[in-house]
Amino acid sequence: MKKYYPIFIVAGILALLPIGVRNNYAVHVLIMVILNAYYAVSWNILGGFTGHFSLGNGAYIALGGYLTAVMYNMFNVSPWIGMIISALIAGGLSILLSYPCFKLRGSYYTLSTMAFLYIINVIIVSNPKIFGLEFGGSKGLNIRWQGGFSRMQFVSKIPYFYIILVMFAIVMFVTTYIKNSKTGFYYAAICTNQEAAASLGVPVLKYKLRAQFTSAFFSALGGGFYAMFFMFLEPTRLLGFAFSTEIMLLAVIGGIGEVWGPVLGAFIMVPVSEYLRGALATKLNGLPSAIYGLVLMLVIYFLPSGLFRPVTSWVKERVKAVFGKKPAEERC
Amino acid sequence: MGLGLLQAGCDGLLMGGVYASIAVGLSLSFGVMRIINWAQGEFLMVAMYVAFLFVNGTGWDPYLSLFVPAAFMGVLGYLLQKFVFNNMLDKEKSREPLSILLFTAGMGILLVNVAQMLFGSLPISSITKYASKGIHIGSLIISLPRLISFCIAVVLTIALNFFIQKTETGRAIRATSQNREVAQLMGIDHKRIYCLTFALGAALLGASAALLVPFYAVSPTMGGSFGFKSFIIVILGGKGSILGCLIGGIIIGLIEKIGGLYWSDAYAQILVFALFIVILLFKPNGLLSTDKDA
Repeated sequence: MKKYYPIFIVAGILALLPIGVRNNYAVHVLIMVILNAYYAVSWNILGGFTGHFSLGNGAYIALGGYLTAVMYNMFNVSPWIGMIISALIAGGLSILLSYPCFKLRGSYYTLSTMAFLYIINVIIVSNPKIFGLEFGGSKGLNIRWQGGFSRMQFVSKIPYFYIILVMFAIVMFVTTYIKNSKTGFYYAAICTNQEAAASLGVPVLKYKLRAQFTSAFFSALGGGFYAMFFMFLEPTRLLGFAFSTEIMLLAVIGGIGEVWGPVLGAFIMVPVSEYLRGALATKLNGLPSAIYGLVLMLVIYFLPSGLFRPVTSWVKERVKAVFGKKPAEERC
Repeated sequence: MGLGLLQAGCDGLLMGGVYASIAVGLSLSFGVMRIINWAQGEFLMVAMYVAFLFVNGTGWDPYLSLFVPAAFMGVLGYLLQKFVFNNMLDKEKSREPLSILLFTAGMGILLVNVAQMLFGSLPISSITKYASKGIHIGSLIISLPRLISFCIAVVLTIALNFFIQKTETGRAIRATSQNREVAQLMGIDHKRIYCLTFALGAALLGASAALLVPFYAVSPTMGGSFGFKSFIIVILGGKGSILGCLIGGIIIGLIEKIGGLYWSDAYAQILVFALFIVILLFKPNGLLSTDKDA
């Protein structure tokens, strides 16, 4: 149970933040931070735990968003239900796509995920209608405004904040559970040495597919939230290489394979880039992304395992120095 | 119908040659150092801006000023390998280091956005005396700049292949690629070979950028599709194989143009990516490979 405490603490502190804040922009930034942390944590389930770097997670996010939006726009399916249905569809599709590709290793696997992202990109951008369903094509897809709790549409940003916070807490519970379960040890074995794991009786393919399903399911669920929060889906952004790469970057900068690593990455990088986007919006369009790239280069060069370990060990040392007693409980 | 096919085939062939010379650097660094330069397309973009600015600034013939971006990229590649990648390779133990892939991914993002800040995001095309010239054979039209670019690209690629196959340095490069430890025992300084290999690939990339300038508009985001096509070409041709690149490049060029003729351009791209996945799954060592192990 102890290992779940940090989730309660972090989620509890975050839940208190919007109280008294009347500044919509601050709430928006908070939502963006948590949403990106959520995506990075979802990426980490496959990329971090099993070591299969996906550069195509945007495809699952987009799929979740589009399916939720289409079901809502055309058949009036409540997004609460639509999100879960689309996440299941995205998860199923991810298994179909990954089944052959899990034969590939390292960079080859990463390239295949990019190829799939590109294929889905071309299909959505060049077809306004797919099977008679309105997907919007290259112009993007607007989501109908009706308002109300059952339609997950609110005038204020605060409800969205609590929705994504709950989703974030759920994905953190799931990853903490996975990391400490038999499945997590199997993932770690696959990540370290696939052949050795297989020789010891780990069903490698089955567990990789399980990690892929979990990762795609949560990514797509986050996609559904994205659709309802922004009320607009832009294929060039969602299905572009930059979006998927940025998600991976957050996890890499924070520390892959650690439960809290991607969260740390998102909590550092997203406020910086959101601030720059706001402050320099029109003047220097590319600067926030350029800084993303630069930070990634520096982190990979100097701290290849990410920021999480150095930061936590530094904090522990400080705590030890100040209080002169046992350091705080290890986080995971 | 037949003429359309012939025209598309010609266009595809000519473009394929340039694709090939762009991919050679990636193939060499993958084959020799086992590193994947994720920013290959962005390097091309940088080299194209260099070529473009030089040609526009001095008014020289774009083909004669080919040496400027080539030298620029070659030096840049040499320095990058010497001061960054070699250090990273020392730290990594695995055979195909992901850290360099991630590092270059970051570099790609940085370069695209810096270019966007410097030059804006709109594509710029240069107007040269070659721009609209074409050779008419019957009712077949062959664009002159594309033809010249194709010829130079193929000659340069074959020259590099000759260098790798026939000279002493080339032999050292091949030896390092086959087995680094044994090559070291034979007295080969593998770090120098790494720097040289990366520089050679980058220089050819720079030259290819100059070849694109007369008929291709340069924009900060143009690198993405070229970069990805280079990966496909490397996988098709087999990593480290220069002639494989030539074949892979031409196949990609042909699929694009002929697929675009019968289908749409967007779907021709899907065809290219689908082919890529099929090759990855069934012939991961390239079309020319005979052995099955990776």
